[in-house]
Amino acid sequence: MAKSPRNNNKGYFLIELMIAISILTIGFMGFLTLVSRSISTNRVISDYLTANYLAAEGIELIKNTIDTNYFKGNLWYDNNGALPPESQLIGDYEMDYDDGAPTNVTGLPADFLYYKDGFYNYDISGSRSPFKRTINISYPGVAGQMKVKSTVSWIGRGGNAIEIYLEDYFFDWR
Amino acid sequence: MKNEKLKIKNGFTLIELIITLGIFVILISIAIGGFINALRNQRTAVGLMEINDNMSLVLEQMAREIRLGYNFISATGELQFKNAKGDDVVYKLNLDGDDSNPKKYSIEKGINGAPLAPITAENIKITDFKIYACGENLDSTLLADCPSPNNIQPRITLSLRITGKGKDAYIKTLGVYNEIQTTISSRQY
Repeated sequence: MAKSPRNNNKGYFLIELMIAISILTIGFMGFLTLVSRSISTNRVISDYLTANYLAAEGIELIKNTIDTNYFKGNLWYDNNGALPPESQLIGDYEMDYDDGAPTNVTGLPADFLYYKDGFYNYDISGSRSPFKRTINISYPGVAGQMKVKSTVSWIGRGGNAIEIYLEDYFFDWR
Repeated sequence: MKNEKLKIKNGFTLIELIITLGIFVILISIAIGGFINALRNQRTAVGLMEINDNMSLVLEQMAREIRLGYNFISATGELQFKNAKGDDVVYKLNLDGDDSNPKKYSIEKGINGAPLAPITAENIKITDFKIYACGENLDSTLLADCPSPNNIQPRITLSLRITGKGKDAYIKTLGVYNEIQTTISSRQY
């Protein structure tokens, strides 16, 4: 009779300690996972930053094409037929940083940008980046007004599709 | 009876102590391992954040100035032009000396021939600063990087590849790089 309660007491001590430590560890691990999450969040932010600048590049390239038309005395939207005529309402375009004029890719799926020799472009000999870019040009109905929408899309680190776009309006004026 | 009571008060045996300590040590080492890992991740996250901050700062500053700049001259890792105020501006990647030079791998800026001063932090390593310049300047000089015809409105493509150095050098060993690129079309006409 005297022996069994003694043994029980000892067992409790061990089990209590184990449970306490386990709870502590599990709680601790939860907190640690949260801290680890911050690195992946930062990677997501990096991607957004790069994508934003790539989208801005798309806008600038179209602006450059328009300014070149003025420079050469062409019609503002003309680039040997590369930009849509003002009557055509919508069109998707691709343009590299080293291209002379945008290429019409209306109806085609967006192409990946490749990273080669320190630059992103559509040249598939580089290493493929996660980003795809399309520049949509349209005329919202007002004469001499062009709407440029540069869209960059990529698959995020969690596997979800992310898309950002920048929009700008250009006019038959400078 | 007396003996038994004494035994009860004595508490646990050596075996129990060893087992408890063993479990304790195993659990604690798992927790500490996780904690060390979390600290490392935290440092990487902060390093990456610094990279991004520096990158957007330097790119935004250059883009704003280039947009209203004119008469560009580009060389390897170096861009010179006149800004909207008419000052001579130069942006250059510092590759002077060896790794003990704290300014090495930073982007520096100089105005009107004044000594260049870094505009990126010392723990940021810019491994690549590429400039691709196209178009015809106001002074009729040609920026001939693009395939001809070159008589277009000047546009500058900037590309940066950044990682950490100094106290942030470990993120380089982790392969944490960021590549960023943008193009700026000059508005000067």
